[in-house]
Amino acid sequence: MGSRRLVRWARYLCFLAALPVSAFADFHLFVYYSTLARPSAIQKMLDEHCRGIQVTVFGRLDDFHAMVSEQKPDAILTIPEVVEGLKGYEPKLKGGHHGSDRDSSLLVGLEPASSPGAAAAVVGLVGSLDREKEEAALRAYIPGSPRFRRVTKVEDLLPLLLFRSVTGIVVTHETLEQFRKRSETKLVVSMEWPSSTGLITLAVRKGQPDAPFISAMRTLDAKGLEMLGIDRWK
Amino acid sequence: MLWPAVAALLASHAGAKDCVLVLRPEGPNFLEAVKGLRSELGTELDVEDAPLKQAGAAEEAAAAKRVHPKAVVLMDNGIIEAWRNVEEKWNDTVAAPPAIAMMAVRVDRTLSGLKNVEGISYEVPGLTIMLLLRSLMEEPVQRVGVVHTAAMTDFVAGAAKWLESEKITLVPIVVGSGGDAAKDVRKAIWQFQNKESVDALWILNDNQYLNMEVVRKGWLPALADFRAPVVVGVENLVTPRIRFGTFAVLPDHYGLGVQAAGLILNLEADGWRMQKPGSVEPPMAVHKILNVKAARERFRMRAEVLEQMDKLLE
Repeated sequence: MGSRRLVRWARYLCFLAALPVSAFADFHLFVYYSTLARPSAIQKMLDEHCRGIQVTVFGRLDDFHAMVSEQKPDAILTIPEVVEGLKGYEPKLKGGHHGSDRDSSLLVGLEPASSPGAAAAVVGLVGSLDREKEEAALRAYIPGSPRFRRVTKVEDLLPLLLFRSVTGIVVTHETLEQFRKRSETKLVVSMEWPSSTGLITLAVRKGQPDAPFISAMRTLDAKGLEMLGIDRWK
Repeated sequence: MLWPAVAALLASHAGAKDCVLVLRPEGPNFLEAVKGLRSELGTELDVEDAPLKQAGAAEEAAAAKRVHPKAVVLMDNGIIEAWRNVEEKWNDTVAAPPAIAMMAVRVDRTLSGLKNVEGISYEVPGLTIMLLLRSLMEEPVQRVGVVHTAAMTDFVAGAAKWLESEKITLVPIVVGSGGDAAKDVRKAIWQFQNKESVDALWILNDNQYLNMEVVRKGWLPALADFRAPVVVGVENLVTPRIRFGTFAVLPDHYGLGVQAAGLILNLEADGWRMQKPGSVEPPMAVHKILNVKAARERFRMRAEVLEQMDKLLE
């Protein structure tokens, strides 16, 4: 092979290497999961691990729902309660954390701890499901007649509490740990119960092959799993 | 004049659900807030969106009355001012519906004299900003210099009070009161760097000292050797092309819509009676942009927090 031809081949290989993974993508994976990590960071992490899969991470549940209905991706990565609300998708992998398939929810307030069942209790939470269903699920654990304030991002819960717009917020242990690193205000846990929403789940559209998605998820390292709020797949 | 068109749109409203009327200027940020409102209210309340080319008064009242809104969302200072007339006239016969004012400069001041309006401020509070900065930095954040005009003195004093609970002291310097804002800026930055030893600098949005001339003659030369992180409220000032901002924290407009929806759901739960007219909440949702190069130069970053930024500029 002549040297000029070799150079041409080398250039072509460089060109191929420079193309984004999505240029070869045969499969589409849509992702919605509410965590402190922003969608752009989750997108970057999944792009690195999901070769041959075009990944789209959504920051809002509404957008996720709309695009899943419109484009019917081959697979979705979201909480099981959202999967249940979508027709045609079967769970294939479930996330696990500390040996369980759901986290604990904590009701956190400021010191002195407000009574969770007080008439004036207002509880902040990240809205990730139908509002009425979500609030009904929480009322099963939080006594009295609390009102609820929803936010779209986990991080918004801290100012909501610190500015006293609510008397308590519902968070996981990991989120509380992060909030305690940010704020010197004493954050007090008044209640703990099993979360009403499950951990992230991979679901594949019926009739589509699941192997590419399962193997891609299995390649996620500890850091990647942590960004998805889990420590292993079950 | 767009009001007749709005009136026609609203007159066509014949839904069985209660209605929330949104009076707003045109523009993508306002539309984003409406999306946030709809995402929370859409299943149980009709959100009638009325984008306007200009704020009216009498016609506005007419349009609003036709749909008998249970609540009104007012966006932008001009429309809140127009609502003042509407509320006064409306009160002659029957009480005007409660309103939520948002996406306006100093909402707290605009609500003065209004009877049945509460609000969400547009200015991101210092507490939110400094806790985010603290989460990014290995170094402690204890003293923060803040540059502002005299008009924002009460806002800065309010921020200082909230920051006390976080053991953060604000060191304010007022600029722009004399004739030479650029000189004031250079002097303030020198003082922060050499006398006050601040851990960070917070620059409030204000055209009086963030215009092209003052940026060129005041900020850029003064910040060339400034060692602490600089927090700003606009994306243009964190671009790595200029040595200015390190970290920008902006209101998240969709999140503002969701927050307004929360206030409306509270109103609904209270039989559409406003419990605390005149009260103003800070915005809870923000958009965070980090100039990574500047951040690396000015402090030791907690790498794990990078994934929590909405945008990284390198």
